[in-house]
Amino acid sequence: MVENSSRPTGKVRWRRFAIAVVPAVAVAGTLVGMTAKGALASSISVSGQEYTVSASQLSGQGFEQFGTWIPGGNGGVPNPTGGAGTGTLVMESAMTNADLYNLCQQVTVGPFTLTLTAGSATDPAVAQNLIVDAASQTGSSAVFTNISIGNDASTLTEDPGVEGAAGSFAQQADTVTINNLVQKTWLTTAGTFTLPDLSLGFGGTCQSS
Amino acid sequence: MTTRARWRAWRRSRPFWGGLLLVLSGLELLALPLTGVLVHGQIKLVIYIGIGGVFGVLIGGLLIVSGLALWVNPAHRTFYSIAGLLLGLVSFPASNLGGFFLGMLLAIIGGSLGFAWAPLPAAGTAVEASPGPEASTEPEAASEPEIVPGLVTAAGPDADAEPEPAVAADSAAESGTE
Repeated sequence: MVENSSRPTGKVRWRRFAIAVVPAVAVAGTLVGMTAKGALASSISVSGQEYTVSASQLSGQGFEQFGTWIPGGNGGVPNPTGGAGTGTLVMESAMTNADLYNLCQQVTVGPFTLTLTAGSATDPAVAQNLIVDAASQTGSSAVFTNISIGNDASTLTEDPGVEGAAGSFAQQADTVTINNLVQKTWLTTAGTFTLPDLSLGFGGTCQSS
Repeated sequence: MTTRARWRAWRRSRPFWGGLLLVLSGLELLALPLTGVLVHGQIKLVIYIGIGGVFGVLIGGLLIVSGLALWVNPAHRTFYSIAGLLLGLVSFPASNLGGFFLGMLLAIIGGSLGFAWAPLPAAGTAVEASPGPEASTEPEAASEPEIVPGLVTAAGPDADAEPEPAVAADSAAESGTE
């Protein structure tokens, strides 16, 4: 007999594999389908790298914006609170609710560039408790209602739970509408993100129309 | 015994690939929200991330644990692999669309591999609890008690499984496995 160590003492039984994997794939397909129909919300939280988010229109309520510092990134800015490491200055935008039309997000994961699109011109992607830390943010036009500029960032009230450091500049508004939004973000988080017409692919570019 | 042979024996005596895929899927799910923290060691980012990121961290961490548990405790492989499978499914709504699909796929395949792994009978002894008639190397004596209790007459040996897996399992069986 061959020496015992070279014999496998167990193996995968492919019938059992199929019994597990087929229903799992069916459930996963259902989840993807429900998400793509906008019936199921997702939780999104990406950080630690710069990526592009664009939308033909962003329409948000409970808008706050202030400058802040995040660790990492390529800014090389020392920690303002005296801690170790360098970071990047970003503009943090928070919205209690945001409708994003023709949303397109590009994330580079290792060697791959993932392009995620969701929301059409009529059926937007909807984010709740959205926080975006952007290094740059451009739009062709922006409309704010009841905007107040020059608040102390620690006294913001529009989006409860989000506030900046005391003494730093901030602005807030009841509603905000930005057309042809393109932003380079370092962090995106949304407690619930409804993504109708979801599609995810490799490569390609976001049409920043 | 050389180190290499020991490693080989260790690998072959447990659901190694299933566990490995579960660990990788957990790492991928952790990496998306936590890259900044892992690279720069800053806790501030975690506080920013909030509940969505917490789910991602929780699911990723549990996937790594279930993968490691598959390795160190293969006796409970069914529980750990199904837990990993379900965590992978939950990660789709809860954690960046299952780490942009990749982590979810790794968890599904890894969990299924762990679930499907079974120890071979020790050489020279009878086949233990053979999963189906085709897996039995002993002729009638071993397989008879399993076939008798009404399963064959109902809808074949997979009557208790769901219709979909039964179909796929049959096609898998046709391709000649054991």
